[in-house]
Amino acid sequence: MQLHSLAERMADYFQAGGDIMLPLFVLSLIMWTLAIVKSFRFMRERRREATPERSLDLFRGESSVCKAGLAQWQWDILSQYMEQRCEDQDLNRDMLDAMRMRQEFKAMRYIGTILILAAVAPLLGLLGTVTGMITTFDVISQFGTGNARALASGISEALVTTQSGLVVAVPGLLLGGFLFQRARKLRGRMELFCIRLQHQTEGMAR
Amino acid sequence: MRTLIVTYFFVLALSMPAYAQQWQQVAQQVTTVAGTVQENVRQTESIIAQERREISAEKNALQDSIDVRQKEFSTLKAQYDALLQQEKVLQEELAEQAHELKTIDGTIRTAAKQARDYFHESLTTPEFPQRETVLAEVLQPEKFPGLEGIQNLLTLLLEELQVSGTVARRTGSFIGTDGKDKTGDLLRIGSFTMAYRLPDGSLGFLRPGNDASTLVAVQGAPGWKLSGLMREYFEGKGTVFPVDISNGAAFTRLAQDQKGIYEWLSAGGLLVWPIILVGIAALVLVVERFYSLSKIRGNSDRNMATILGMVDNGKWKECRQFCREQSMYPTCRIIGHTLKYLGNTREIIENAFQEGLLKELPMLERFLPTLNVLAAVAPLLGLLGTVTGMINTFQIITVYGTGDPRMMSGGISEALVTTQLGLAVAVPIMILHHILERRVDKIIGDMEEKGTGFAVALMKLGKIKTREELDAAA
Repeated sequence: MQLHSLAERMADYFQAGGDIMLPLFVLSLIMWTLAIVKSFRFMRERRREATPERSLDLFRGESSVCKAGLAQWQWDILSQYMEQRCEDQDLNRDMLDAMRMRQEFKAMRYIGTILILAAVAPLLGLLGTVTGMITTFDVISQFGTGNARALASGISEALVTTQSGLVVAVPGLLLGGFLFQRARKLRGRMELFCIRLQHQTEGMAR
Repeated sequence: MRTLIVTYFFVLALSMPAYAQQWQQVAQQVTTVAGTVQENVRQTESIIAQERREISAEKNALQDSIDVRQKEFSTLKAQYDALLQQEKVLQEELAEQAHELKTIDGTIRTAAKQARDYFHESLTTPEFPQRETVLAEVLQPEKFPGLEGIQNLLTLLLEELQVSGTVARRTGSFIGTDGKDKTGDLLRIGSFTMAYRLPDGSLGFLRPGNDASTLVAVQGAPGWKLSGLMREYFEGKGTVFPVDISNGAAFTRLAQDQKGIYEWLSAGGLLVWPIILVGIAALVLVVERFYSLSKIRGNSDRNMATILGMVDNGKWKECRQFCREQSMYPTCRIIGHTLKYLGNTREIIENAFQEGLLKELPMLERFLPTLNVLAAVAPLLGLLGTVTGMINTFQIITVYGTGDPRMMSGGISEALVTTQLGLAVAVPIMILHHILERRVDKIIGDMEEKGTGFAVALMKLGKIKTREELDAAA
């Protein structure tokens, strides 16, 4: 019963917001999905991260155990590097850089999207405001200012969409910023990992 | 008494000379005269007494008469007062009755006016054109309608009551949607819905016109489904008829809601067109970008595998040939470019690769900055439109004042429509630009990785000389 009335109220709220509520809702859904997926991934990776020495040890053992024991990016860099590396240290470094760039790109994935969606949400809210005001003025041009009930529907449309846009945007921006910090730290760790990996393997024969 | 004295002195004077001679005689005579006089006096006295009696009798009689009259007068006065009292009471009663009558008159007039207003908006009025005259008679100023008038009014109202419970079909005329007089089948259901069917088959609803006894067609055609139901009913086949209980207001509102996109745009004024131009330009650029980038992405891994396979087997000719054939892909172009420098030092090969990459970059990032600028410009144009619209509004306010909100709505709708359009254009451009940028970043990262992989493959085959080797060769 409680849930039912909540759903009803949500439906009312949606109805009051007009057409803009649907894209806004879809947008917030995508944004939150991405944010949740991304933060879960970050958390899992962080737990499985290992030092370069330990990863090398693991790599020398069973490769399937190694894959399960390391973070995804560590495994990717390690396996590719060990497979492709050659005697030339400079080339090795360049290769590692290229691999790291790819992993960094993966780490930053979706964060830009989350931020852009959070930036777009208030714009959509503003669009809803303007649409609501147009409805209001249409009503004024038809019935004059006397019909308060008709006026209120347009105004509520304007306000509800603005509100929803902000409600979507503010946590989105916070989440995006938080994830951005996480990704930047991860990039720092990747760089460190690569440098130490190279040092470790310097004198190693293939 | 005076007579007595005069007579006495006269007798004395007469008797004076003959006093001596005739004293006796005189004395006798005097006695006689005295006797006569006394007689006279007595007589006179008696007369006086009698007259006095008569007078007093008369006086008494008169007094009686006065008393009687007085009594009569007081009686009449009392009667008069009573009558006055009565008159006053009656007057009050009269005033009261007149007030009541006035109230009744007022009530009837009010009822008649209400009835006139009601009939004015009633769909049944065109069927009863005599209503107007009856009402006009009742509503004559300075004249009591009388029992007949009241009865007529009552009849009209009862008639309306009766008619509003019936469904009536007739042939009549009305004012069509184009403002011309039309004649067709009319159908009235109760007093709230009226529809027409023209001989050419077009259907629609009617509403009462501005003056009674005319009907006006409601703007906006009923939908296909409603038309079917209505036609069936008109032809006597169906039993269901759609009713419009809003007297046409719903249709007017619907017509307002179904405003075409052109009207919407023209409400936004001149600035709508540059915004639309920006939107179209952005759309074209986005479509172009998506098309060319989608071609690049799909094949790079497979091509690279082919190239590396060829390099491993030392098939340099085939590799060059393959890169030429697949030259629409930037990765192949870069590798083809790099292959020309085979046999040089690593630095030269890397530089060649970087050069090839730099050549490709503008092609990949083409239009993306433009797209960004367009996304920024669209809401700015919208804002410009807002300001322009508000300026128009305030100019109108300076001319006409704020009395009529309808006057201001033109400028305000201009302001709002441009803002709306600017935002509606900017939001998708922003999102699409972001997607494209991500894609380009990914492709560039992919290329760099491929380039390094290629260099490593060459290195393993010993196709890259170190500086010492090159110097030794030279």
